[in-house]
Amino acid sequence: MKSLGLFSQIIAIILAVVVGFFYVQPTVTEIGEIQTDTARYQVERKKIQEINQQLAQNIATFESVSRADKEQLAVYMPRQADDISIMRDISFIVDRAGVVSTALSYNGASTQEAFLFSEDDTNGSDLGDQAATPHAFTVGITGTYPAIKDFLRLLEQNHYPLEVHQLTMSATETGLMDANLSLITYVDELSLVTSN
Amino acid sequence: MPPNASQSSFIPKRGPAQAKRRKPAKRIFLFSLISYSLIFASLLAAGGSYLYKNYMTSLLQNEVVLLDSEIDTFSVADLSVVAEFDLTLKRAADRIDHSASIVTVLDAIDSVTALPVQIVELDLTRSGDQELVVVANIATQSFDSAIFQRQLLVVGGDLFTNVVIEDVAVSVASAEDELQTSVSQPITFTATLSAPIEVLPYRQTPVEPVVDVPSIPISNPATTSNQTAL
Repeated sequence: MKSLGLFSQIIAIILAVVVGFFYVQPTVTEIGEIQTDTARYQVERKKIQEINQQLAQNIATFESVSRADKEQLAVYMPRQADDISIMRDISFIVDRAGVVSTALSYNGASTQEAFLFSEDDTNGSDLGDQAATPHAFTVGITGTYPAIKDFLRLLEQNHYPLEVHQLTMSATETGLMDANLSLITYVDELSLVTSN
Repeated sequence: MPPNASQSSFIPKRGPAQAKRRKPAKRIFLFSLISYSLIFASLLAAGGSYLYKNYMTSLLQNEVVLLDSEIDTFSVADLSVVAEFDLTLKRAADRIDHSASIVTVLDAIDSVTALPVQIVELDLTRSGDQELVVVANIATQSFDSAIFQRQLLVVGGDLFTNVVIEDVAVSVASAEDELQTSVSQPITFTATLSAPIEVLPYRQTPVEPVVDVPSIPISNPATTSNQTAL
């Protein structure tokens, strides 16, 4: 090995330092960032993979539910409040129970009830603000006490909820009883889902 | 000169082949060694880091491609369907969990009401999903009946967690009011009963129609209303 001259040796050392400082070190830093990015992408990809797998499982579960069950669920928790159909169903129940209808009206969506249930849901269930929207109906009937109880029993057996939230019963002079009810049914409004 | 004269000479003789020239010692300078080492190390590090960076960049690009393909696999429509179905199920389950049977309440009141006692008016209010509050105006013929009825309400009602008897009043009968129920039962009081929703589950019992109504089928709202199937 032929010895370099002193000047060449100094130049070589300076060149080595320059290469190390201006190329190797930034490249190593860059490699570190790339490795960090790669690790982050891997983590995110795994998350998305898990979500996709979960979604695929949920879709499979959803598709395994029979059409009849889905239809029953849609009846139990409909997307819209069809007040005319509900009032007609209530009048059918009135006829079947053998009581006489004295009043039947639709009072619209009950925001106060929704507020009440939201408060309760924060303690009980995890629905919170996503609770179903209540819609109120007022019903007045006259009949014997057993007939009114049958009317209430038929309400409980309905295909969708008709919850009694207020019931006032009083005897009349004819021996029959008057009953005024506030019924609540629920609508599955999905605005929160679509907004998310 | 005789031939053996050289051998007898005292001057030492040396053959020509034995005359070796000494090479000069190789000199290695420390500064040269350091400079060589540094320049080679820097070049090696530069080349290695360049190649390794290329390798890592290709790995990153591969990871990005995989991530993109995973993102493309994800279906927002599927998620929406599942999320809506899940929310609907939760809402339905929530309402079923908080269902309360009013008939059960009335049966319980019937079971704790003595025969001569008359419930003049009954008011039932559902307070959110927590409890049902029943306020009954009760009329009895005597204080003994009232005490007995109070005992039945306080002790007998398993469903009711809170029973309050208040507003006890005595009506004085006049000749004209004899026929009225409230005066024939002169002792009146108000009973306030509350029952938690969770102890009032719906029990399916067959309903016997009180009167024969021409068989009007309860319509299936799935086919009659404009509810959208999932």
